[in-house]
Formats: sequence, structure tokens, C-alpha cells
Amino acid sequence: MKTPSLRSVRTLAGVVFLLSLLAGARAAPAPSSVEPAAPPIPVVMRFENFGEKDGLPSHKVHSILKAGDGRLWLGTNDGLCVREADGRFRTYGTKDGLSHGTVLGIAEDPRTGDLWLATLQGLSRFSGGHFTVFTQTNSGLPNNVVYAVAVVDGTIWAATSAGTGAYDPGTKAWKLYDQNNTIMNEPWCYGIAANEGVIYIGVWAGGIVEHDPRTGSFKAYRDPDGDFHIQLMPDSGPVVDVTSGVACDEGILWQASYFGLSRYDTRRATWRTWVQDKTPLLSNFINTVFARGRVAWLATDRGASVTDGDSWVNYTVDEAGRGVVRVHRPGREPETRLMTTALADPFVTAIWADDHEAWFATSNGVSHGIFAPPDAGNITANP
Amino acid sequence: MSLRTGVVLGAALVLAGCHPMAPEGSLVATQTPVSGAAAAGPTVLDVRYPAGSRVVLMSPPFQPDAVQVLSGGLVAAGDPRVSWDGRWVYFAGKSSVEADWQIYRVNAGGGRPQRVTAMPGGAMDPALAAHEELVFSSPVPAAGRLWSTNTPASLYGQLPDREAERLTYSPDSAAGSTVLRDGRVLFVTTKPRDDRMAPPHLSLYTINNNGTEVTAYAGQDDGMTMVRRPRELGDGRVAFLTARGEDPAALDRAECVRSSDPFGSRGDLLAFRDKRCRSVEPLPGGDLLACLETRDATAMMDRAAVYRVAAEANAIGAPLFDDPRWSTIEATAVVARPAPAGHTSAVKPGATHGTLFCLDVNRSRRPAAGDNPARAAALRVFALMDSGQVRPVGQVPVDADGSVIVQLPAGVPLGLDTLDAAGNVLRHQPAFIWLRPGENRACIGCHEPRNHGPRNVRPLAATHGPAHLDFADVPTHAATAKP
Amino acid sequence: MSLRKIILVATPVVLLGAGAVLGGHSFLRHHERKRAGNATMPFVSCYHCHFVSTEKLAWAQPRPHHDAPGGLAVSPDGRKLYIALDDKDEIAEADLATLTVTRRAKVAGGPFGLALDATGERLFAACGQHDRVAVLATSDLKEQASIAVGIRPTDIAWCRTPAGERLIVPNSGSDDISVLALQPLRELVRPAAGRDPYAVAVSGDGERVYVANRRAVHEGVVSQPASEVTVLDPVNGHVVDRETLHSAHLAEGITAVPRRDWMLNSMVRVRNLVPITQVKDGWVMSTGLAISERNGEVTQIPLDEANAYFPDPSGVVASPDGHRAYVASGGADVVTVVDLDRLEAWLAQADVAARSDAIDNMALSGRYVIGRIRTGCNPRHLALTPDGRRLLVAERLDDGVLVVDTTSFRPVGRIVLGDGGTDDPIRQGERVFTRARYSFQGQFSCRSCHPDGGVDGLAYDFDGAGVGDNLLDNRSLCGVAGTAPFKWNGKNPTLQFQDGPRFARVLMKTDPIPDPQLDELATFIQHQPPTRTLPWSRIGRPLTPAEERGRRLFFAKQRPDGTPIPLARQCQTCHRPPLYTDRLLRDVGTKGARDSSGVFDTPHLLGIGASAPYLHDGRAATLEELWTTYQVNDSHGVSSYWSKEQLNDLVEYLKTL
Repeated sequence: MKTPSLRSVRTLAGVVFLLSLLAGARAAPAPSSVEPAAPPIPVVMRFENFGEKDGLPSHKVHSILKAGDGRLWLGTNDGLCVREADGRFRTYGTKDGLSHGTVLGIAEDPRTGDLWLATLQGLSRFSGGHFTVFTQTNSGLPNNVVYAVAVVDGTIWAATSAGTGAYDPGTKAWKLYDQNNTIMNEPWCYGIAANEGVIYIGVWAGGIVEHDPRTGSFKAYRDPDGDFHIQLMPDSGPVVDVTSGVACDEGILWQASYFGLSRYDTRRATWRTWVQDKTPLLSNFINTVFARGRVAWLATDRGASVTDGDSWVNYTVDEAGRGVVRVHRPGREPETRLMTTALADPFVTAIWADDHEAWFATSNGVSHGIFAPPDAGNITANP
Repeated sequence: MSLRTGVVLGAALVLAGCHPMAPEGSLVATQTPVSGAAAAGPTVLDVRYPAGSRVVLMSPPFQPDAVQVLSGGLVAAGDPRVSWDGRWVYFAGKSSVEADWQIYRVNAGGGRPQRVTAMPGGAMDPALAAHEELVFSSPVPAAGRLWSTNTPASLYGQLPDREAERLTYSPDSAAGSTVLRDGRVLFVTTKPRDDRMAPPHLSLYTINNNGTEVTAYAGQDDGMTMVRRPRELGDGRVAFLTARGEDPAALDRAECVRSSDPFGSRGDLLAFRDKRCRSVEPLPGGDLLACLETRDATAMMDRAAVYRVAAEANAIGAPLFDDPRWSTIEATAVVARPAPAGHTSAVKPGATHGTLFCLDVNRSRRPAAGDNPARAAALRVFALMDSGQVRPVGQVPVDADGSVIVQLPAGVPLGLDTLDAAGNVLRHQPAFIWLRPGENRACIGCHEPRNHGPRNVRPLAATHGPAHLDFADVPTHAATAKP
Repeated sequence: MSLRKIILVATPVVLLGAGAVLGGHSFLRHHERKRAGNATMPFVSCYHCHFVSTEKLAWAQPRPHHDAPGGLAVSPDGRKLYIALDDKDEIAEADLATLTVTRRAKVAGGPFGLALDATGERLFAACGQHDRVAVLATSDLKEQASIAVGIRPTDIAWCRTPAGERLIVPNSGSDDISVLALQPLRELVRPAAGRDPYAVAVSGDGERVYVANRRAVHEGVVSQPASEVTVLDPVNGHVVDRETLHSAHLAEGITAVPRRDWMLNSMVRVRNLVPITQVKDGWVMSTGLAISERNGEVTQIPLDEANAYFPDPSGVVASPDGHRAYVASGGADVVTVVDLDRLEAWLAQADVAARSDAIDNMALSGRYVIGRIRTGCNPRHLALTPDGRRLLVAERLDDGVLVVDTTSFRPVGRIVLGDGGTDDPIRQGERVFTRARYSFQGQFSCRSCHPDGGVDGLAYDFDGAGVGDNLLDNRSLCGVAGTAPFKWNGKNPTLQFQDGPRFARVLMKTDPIPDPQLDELATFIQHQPPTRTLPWSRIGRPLTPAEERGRRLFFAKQRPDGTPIPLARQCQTCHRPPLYTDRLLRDVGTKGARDSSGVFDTPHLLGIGASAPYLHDGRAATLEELWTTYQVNDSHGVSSYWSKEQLNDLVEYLKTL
């Protein structure tokens, strides 16, 4: 909503929130300056929560996407749900042609406007209000259990429990990537990301497989110590091989896992890793990661985080159900503050964000994170 | 002239002599004597065509003294029909007072009539189908008993040099047939009824020329009480003569329906209603040929003459042909027309049953008895015996979607009841429809909507085989299609 | 020579000869049974496997080409008519005042669909054979530009959007739609369509583009088929709606109705799920018009009458004043005139139930059909002059364009393009193929189920021994030359047998097609080449690596571990090249619950990628399903050792045949 009145309200609220946040930070001085060239880490000012009472078909939301036309799409445990312009939710289920009620991933083809949906019973295309279903029996889809989907230059990439499939809508041909024809050590693929034409496949116990379709090359990024209990070699590779999700933007690849977070700068070929007890990482149990610019949004079992790797803003829910935000800046003490609103549930499954808002899929509905205005003192990321 | 040309011309003359052609523009007509005519026998045709009635050929300029009798040697004749190639005239005739009426054939240009049927009880109402198949009704019921006789007339089809094959098995007579361009036989019979003593409600039905797919064509839903002589016009209409009330001698009125909507388009064919119309036939070019009765002041009786009526005429003009000595009650053009389509028969001679398939017995244009909202659980079938007795054939369950497929005896009028789970009758169809041996007969509902295609659904009944009933002891005419 | 000597000499010769014959016969039987992997196979001719060459088949031979008119485009000033002549690789320009052809231009690749820009200065042609769009200047009919699009484009529409000019091209062979930008000419996006997108029209306000898809899809062989009207935003090519035409298909024409928010689709209402016990009352199919309103509501109305039918609807146009629509019936050689005011009045009073029931009510059309215009053979594309006073009818099989006065509905002239090819038996056969007069009441033609000779993608339940026990997938007629016998049970040795009395009995319900016409029909069918499934740019190119892997799998004689694959279950044994059929009956484990036999004719595989669904009853929606859902104990080739990738490879190879 960008009406002047609402914007004014948001700005005012954001200023109040930030002031209260800073006032509550006992040892932390106010930011000394804002670096204009640095990208901001957005800060959620407040949450608006939506659940079954608002029309969601299920309290469990697995995936979330705001499409190019501005409509919000939710992949729930019981169908695909869209938030229409009037704010009402409309659900499409199996009776409408969706391949399965559980929608684990949503991707939009920016060229066609079609949505591609990863479900537990195949891949569905949602186009013009109608579904087309691709299954392992009626198409070249590797497996019906599709965990993630991405659209890269018109090709549909589907991460499944039996490899990753790439569907070319132009030729109607499928390519299959698994342990038999790539360096993938096992077929269980959990995530798909792409950057500058390169595909990154998150493999459950195989780290990350990088594939350049233009050259046909493959490269695997594996945990250098090979142990998911301890981290003997930090910042030298994926924190663990057990990948639960991958995301990439502006050359920064993020690996989510249930044992920590990894970041790979594809241009500098450098790694950084985080585990929860030694870093601001909220939880090692990261369901998915969403990348925008050089910032990652982490959906964890204890809340949500946004980070550029140096600064962190973590959102949790305390035992009383109140929202808590904790801000970590390099070289400063963390700042913690209660929020007037809280995430719908601390178990966050997926996040979508842009420069104006963030949406959080949780196991108890969906939360709309409304950002504080940038001029109200957003935390900046290091360049 | 070369020898070759001479031979060809000679052969043509010989052939022409064997098969004289009627002059262009000729009509063939039925004439009955104006006075002194008496029924030559006890049948309905004897009343319609009294002794002395004749079939004649008349040619332009249609002078009364220039007609050519085509039914020479017969004591009475009438109801001429011209073959599709325009070369033959078929008509009903009687060789002697005692003889049965049979169908005769004569060269359109004249000649000696040849009897082409030998039906016990006689034959009447000839019509021509594809492949020179003759369609007619037999036997000829007694006068005044056409629609109430215990031995109703059935339609038969007879290909050249073949025996006649029975086509209809309706409880009441099937008569007045004509063959539509699409190959179906259009005929008149009574609307199904349980009370055999009730006044008949005549209407139009069709069958394929092998007797399959008996279907209501027009008139079942309105007050068309007496109907006869249906004829397909060339402009998409079907004409017929009607009479209000039960008196067949009452004023005959020419009406029509549009074949595009036969149940919703009934109307007058001719704008003038004050004259009794004895026949109406299409003419090439779209005009009509009508035989209309006028009062003959001299003879103090009604007498029919032949009129050419423009399709949109509002008034009748001078008669095309009128002979004061005769009442010209029927006339048709002697002209070649495109033959109707044929029908490749799926009838299996020797089979004793056909298969009835209904898409949804609950689909109907009528409410269920007592507005019972229940869905049908079973279909009960009964047959009407020659004795007039109704005999149960059996009962079969109906699938959940209302579909049913059941094998039933061929060659016997069948009636149907749909029953709810408690056995209450939801809808009742008096015995009327029949199956030919091996026929797969389909309908979309019970008292289904008229002229409707089926909904495109896969009937549950199609997922399993047809229901079988034990009807071995139901006497049928399936194996006795021959007269 | 004495008799004794003769006997002495002849006896061993006869014995040797008899021995040679018997031995040869025995050897041949052994050879055949071994090679076929069928120990009980009856003796068949050597021609089943040998001496077969696609080069010798009828469809591979040169054939006459005709001036068959395809798409029509009228110049904005109403003076010129542009006519696509796809069979001649030409576009003709005709003067509408003199009704004469003034110019012809060579345009390679089978120009079929035509469109003009608003000024009439540029003519756009969708060239179906070369998968491209050509841009011509109408000033000189010279080609200015060309761009590749999807497979077999059939139509084209031009429109102006706030983002620039657009061309919308339905690609019937690749089931997608090319959205092109002009200045420069480039493809913006190629969204997926339904199946067989065929015709395109721009809405009256220019904000939407509607693409009619000719073939229906269905989720299962006994579920209701539905075809799609794909609705695009021409600005970005995004699909904004996919309207559903339930139980309808073969939509070959679409038009916007000026002054009304309607799109009209000519369509066939198909009733394939109902056993074909009869054909009267449109039991198998009937012709209709689908009215798409802006709110997305679609109403199907009949164009047929209770006892008269006007099948194979094709082109549809609406008058500029929005009062009338004209629909070509290619099977009845008629153009039907619809009074849209009357139609609107009927719609206004019709409740939901009446609208739903309308298409099945064969007596309804009298409410709005006000004329039937007789035309030459196989009217397809239609056009109107800008003033709406002249209707132009492409008489495809008469090589002419009929000009009809829209006030009197009477022809006022004809643009002669060619001689009709009456001396060409293939063309004569095509006339038989397209004419509905050979079915009861003229309800349908061969083309009604075999658009372009291919398949409509449906299974029909033909009247067999009983009711409901003969569900059969429609098989393509393309590429069938040399693949006898025909019919799924392989009982028809010739096409004449296939399409003769038996067909008249079970389907046409009328007299059989007369022998001379039957021969012509067979000639036409035998000259239908296999459906092209590869893009034009790939013709003659080597297989891709995946296709090559699939090819090796197709011809595999052993598993990767060296285990031999039984001869009877190698792909190549039954689907023997070059026709990819051994023309024998096989049991591949697909006997259905009500099938009387599990043995079916081995289909050829030429163009198999375009003939979905598969198996005798059409139960397999895709090629993949043959070896996933419907493979039984490796009966249909040994596939149990295949990986998913190998299956994908095989499918890719099959699509190249």
C-alpha cells in the first residue's frame, strides 16, 4: 500500500519503533552514519498475520512468492493460495487440477507469467487460471516428490527426490541430472538456485552441485570436513553436506542446512559459514533461504533472520508470544527489543522479500513483514 | 446416318418401347368416381378408393379427356408413388372385388400393372426407399378399424426380387409411410397408450429402413389427433394432413412442421383452410401440388381437383386439372428426384434379442409420478403380446448415474417402468418400442427431451456388460420377420 | 523320349522341387517365427519385413500442387484481397472490384495464415511448412523479413499495444504461441497453448488476444475432453486466461464481435464418451459456436438443426456492425448466417441451465440462424470487406474464393485461383475425405475425426458386439501407406476395406461410400505423409545426444549387463524400420476389462509424437505412460532395466520418427 497517508503512518511508526529499539539498546551507540552506497538490510517494523481464519486453507504454509503482477502466492499444506488485490485469499486445490495439496515450492517464469509449483505429487504449471500436471509417469519429471522449482532463462528446473529435472517448454524435452550422469553423489535434491546462467542444486547429503548448462560442466561443493556434527574447517566450504535449500543472487550463493549456514561468493570463490552457537545465526535448523541482492533471508525453526553475513536481524517469538527482534552489528553488542507484533509462528518455512516488504511462510499461517522506512535508520550492510 | 448410329437409335427405340416414359411435367393421380361409387370390399382402402377408383397419368396441358389409365384391369386403385428415377409408378390396387389389396407397379409412361406384393391380408400405402426398396403397410385393416384393429398393419420393406421383411412391431397400425431424404421411413401410428380402448392420438414416427431406431418425429406433444399422408417437401418442411376429432372423414387440413424443429414448429401449410385437402405433394421448384375438394353444385357433392399452389400463396387459383366426372383426390409429379440415403443394416437375422441402452433413466422432460424426487433404482420391462396381454420381461438394476444396458427380446412391443428403491413407479412408458434382432438401441432418458443430443459422459453401465433377462419364453416375431 | 524315361526324369525333379518347396516353406516359417519372436505366428509374406522402403510409398512421391486458398486478408480500403496459397508456396493478390488475381508472389514454406497491419502496408504470413513468419510489403509483395516460430504456425494476428506492435502466431505443431514484437522483429515469448493452437483473433478493444486450440485434452480416456481458448495479454504475451470448451474441439475459427464483448469460436461438440449406438440427434458430434464473454463465461450453442447438420466448422467472421456472424461448414459446403441480435436476445432470457443445455438442443438454432449459403467444396477461411457488404469464402478444394452479397446471401462472383485439380485423384480423394454426405444426415466427414489426416486425440466407443465394449483410440491416417492391415484388431487388409461397408454400418449409418469414391479416398489417405514433429530447422540434422541414446535403446538387443533381450520384446522386432511396424498382431499386456482380445495391430511409429493418446483404447496420455503406468511385466518391450533418463531419451528419439 503506497497511499501517502499509510506511508506517513508507516514512517512515523518506523521512527517510533527504531527510536524505541535504539533506546532499549543499553550499550550500543546509535549508528554513526549511513553509507549511501551500501545496500540496506531491511528491518521489519511490524507483522501482519494471516491464518485459516482469514481464508488460508491450512495453517501450514510451505512456500511463498510475490509474483510480477503483485499477487502473493502461498504454497500450503492444502493447496495453492493467492491473495487477491482486495486482500482476500483464494485457494486452488486438487479439485482444480493441482497435482497435490502440499505445495513446497513456487517459481514464476517472468517471461510467460506462469507459475511452476513443486508438490508432493509432481510438478504443476499454473497458467491462465489452469493447472497442467507433470508427473514421473506422464512426463520426463524425475520423481513426483518435488521439493523446489526454479525458472532459469525459460527452462524449468525441478529438484526432486530422484534427481533434478530440467524441462524446456520450447522442445518439450526433459533433461535429468542425478547420481548417474553427474557428479551428484545421491539423487535427493532439495533446492535449486541460479545465477548468471549457472545452476546450483542443493543435494540433501551431497552439498551443492554447480552446473553450467552452456558448457555442460559440473562442480560439487562439499563439506571439507565431511562431518555435520562439528565444523573443523570453517569458511572453507559448505558448512555441511546436508543441504535444505539454496539461493543465489548477485553472485552470492547461500546454502541452508539443518546444521548451519554457508555463503559462497561465486566471483571471489570464497566461503563463509555460520553455526548458531558461535555466530548470530538464530538456529542451525534452516528450512530455506531467500536471497535478494547480497542479503539472505533465513527461514528457521526458531524464527527468521536477515543478514548480509556481517549484520543480522533476527526475529523470534518469546514464550509469551511476543515478537522479539535482535540486531547484530559488526563490532557492537547485539540489541534486543520487543516488537508490538510477532511472527505468526517461530517455525518459519519460507520467505519472500523485496525492498518494501517481506512475507514469511510459517507453520501457523503467513506473516507480512512491513519494513521500517529506509530513512528511519535501517541497518546497513557492509560493502 | 451411319450404321452404328442407326443401331444405337434402334436399340434406344426398342428400350423406350419396353419402358415408355411419361412426358415431361406429367402427373400421376388417383381418381374416384363422382357418383355411384361403392366400397368394393370391407377394408379401409375400399372406403378410401371405392370401386372404379383408378390411377391415371395426366400430362400437360392436362385435359380431362387425355388422361392415361395406369391401373387398367383393376377394380380399384389409388395412392400412387413415383419411383425416385421417375420411371415407375407404384400404387395400391385390387384385381377383383374379392381379392386383397396389393401393391402394383407400372411404367410411368403406361403399360400393364404388375403386382409386386403378395401379402396375406393385403398391402397398402406404398413408399420407395433407397435401392428401389418398396415400403408398405400390411395387412389392410377393416374399414373404420385402422387404429383400433386387433390385427394392426405393420410396415414392411421389400427389395426387388426379395421377400418382404417386417419393420415395425407397434401395438397399433403403422401406416401412411413416406421415405425421407435421409433414408428414414416416416410413418403414422398411435402414441403409446395403456388403454387400448382409448381414442388414438396419431403422430409421426421414424424408423430406419431396417426397422431400427423407432423414434418420435412430430406431433406427440400436441393435439394432432388424426394424421395421414406425411410428405417431405423440398424446403425443409414436412407436410401432412390432419383432421380434428376422431372422424377420419372430417375436414382434412394441410399442416406442416419444419424438420429443423419438428416439435416446435407445427403450423398450417396452406393459407386457405376452407377446402378439404385430400393430398399434398411437393413439386420441383418449390411449389406444391394439392388436391382440394370443392362443392360441386351440380352433383351436390364434394369433388376434388388438382391445384398447383405457390409456396407462399394466400389464395387458391384455378385448378390445374379438374374433371367433373371424377374426384381427383391424389396427385403427384412424375419426375426423377435424388434417391434417399440408404442405411447399412446392423440387424442380425436369427438373433432373438437386441440391446437397449439408456444413458440416464432419470433424465426426462416430465416429472416423476407424484413428483417423487427419488432416483431410479431399477428398470422394469414388460412386453405386449399379440393377445393384447402384458407380460413381464424382467427387472434390472440401474447404475448410480442412471444408465442401464439390458438385452431384451426383439420383435415385440416393449414397455418400461422406472422404479425407485421402494419399488414405486417413477415413470411409465406403455408398450410401444421394439428392437430388431441385434439392434443396439439407445436413448438419453425416459421420456427424453426431444431432438437432444446426449451429454458427453461415460455411462457406468458401459463399464460392465449388459444385463441379461430370461425372456426365452416371451413369444416374439424376431425370427418371423417374414409375413 | 519314352514314358518311362520321362517318369524317371520327372519324378526326382518333382520330388526335389516339392522338397525344395516344403523345405523352403519350413525354413521361412522358422525364420519368420524366430525373427518375430513368436513361435505360433502364421506364415506371412516376405514383404512384411523385407523390401519395404519409405521412398516407394505414395506419400513420398511427387504430387500435383493446387491453388487451394488458405487464409484471407482484405486491405483496409476494401480493394484488395490477399490469399494464402500454401500448397503452391504463394500469396495471391486479387482485385475485389474485378474479382481477378492481379499479382502472385512466391513465399516459401507454405503460407497459410495471413494478417495485415492497420495501414495495409505490411502483410504477415504464417508459413506452416517452414515454421516461420514472413513479412511482406504489399506495395511489391516482396518479402522484407522473416523470423522462426514454433512448429507449424497456422494463423497470425497483428495488433498494436502500448508497448508496440505485436504479432501473435499459434504454432499448431508445438502447442505454443509465438508472441512477436515488430521493430525490430523478434520473439518476445512463446507461452504454452492448449493442444493444436490453430486460429487467433484480437479482441475488439485490442487488450486481449484469443487463440483457439483445435484439439482437446482429457485427463483420462473416459473423462470429458476439453479444448482451450488461450487468452493472452499482447503486451507481454502472458496467458491471462485459459477458457475451457467442455466436450468441444476442432475449433478452427475465432473472431471478435464488434460492438459486443464477445469472441466467437466455431467448434465441434463431441460426445465420444457415449457408445456410438446411433448418430441421429448429434449422438456422436454436432456443430456449434462458443460465445466467450468478457467475464469469462462461455456458452456453446448449436449451429445444426434437428435433422440437418453442418459439420466441420472452420472460419468464422462477424460483420463490422456486430449484427451477424458467418460460419463456414467445410463438410456441408455451406456458410451459416447467425443473427447476433437474436442470439443475444436468446442468451438474455436463458438461465444457467438453459445455457448449459443449449448445445445439446438440436432444435434451438432456428432462433438465431437466418441463412445457409451454399458454397463450393470445402469452405474454410472467411473474410468480410470492411463495409461488411461482401463475404469472401475460401473454397479450399475448388481453388477459388466465392464472393457473397451479405444482403441477399447470394453469390455475386468468384475469384478463380486454379482449375480445382479435378484430374488429380488425390484431390478427388480429399473431396471425399472432407464431404459429410457419406454419413447419416451429413453429420460428419472423415475430417471430422481426422483433422489434417491426423487424430483428434480422442477415443470412441464404436458399436461392436454389445454396447460399451469397443472403446478405441482414434488412429492417425498420416503415414499409413504400406502399414496394412488396418484397424486395431488388424482385420482390415486395405483402406478400402477399412472405410467401406463396415464403417458405414458402425459409424456412418448410411450407405457405404461408392467404390470409385472409396478408391479416391484411399488414394488421398495413402498420400498423407507422416506428421512432422520436429521443427523445420531440425530436418536433416543429426540426432541430439539424448535422441541418439534413445535410438540405441530402441535398437538394443541386450541390457547393459549383457543379458540378451528376448527378440519378441525388442522394440525393433515389432516396430521394425522403416515403417516401425511389422504389421502383425501383438499382445503387449494391454487387454482391458471389456476387451474381447488382448491382441492388437502393431501401430507404425512415424509421427508418433503427434498422435497422443496411445494404446488401442487411448489410455496412455503420453509416450512416457506406455512404460510407466501401462507397462505390464515388460510385455511392451523390456523396460524394467531403464533408468528414468533412458526412458526420457527413448521418448525423445520416438518424437523424431
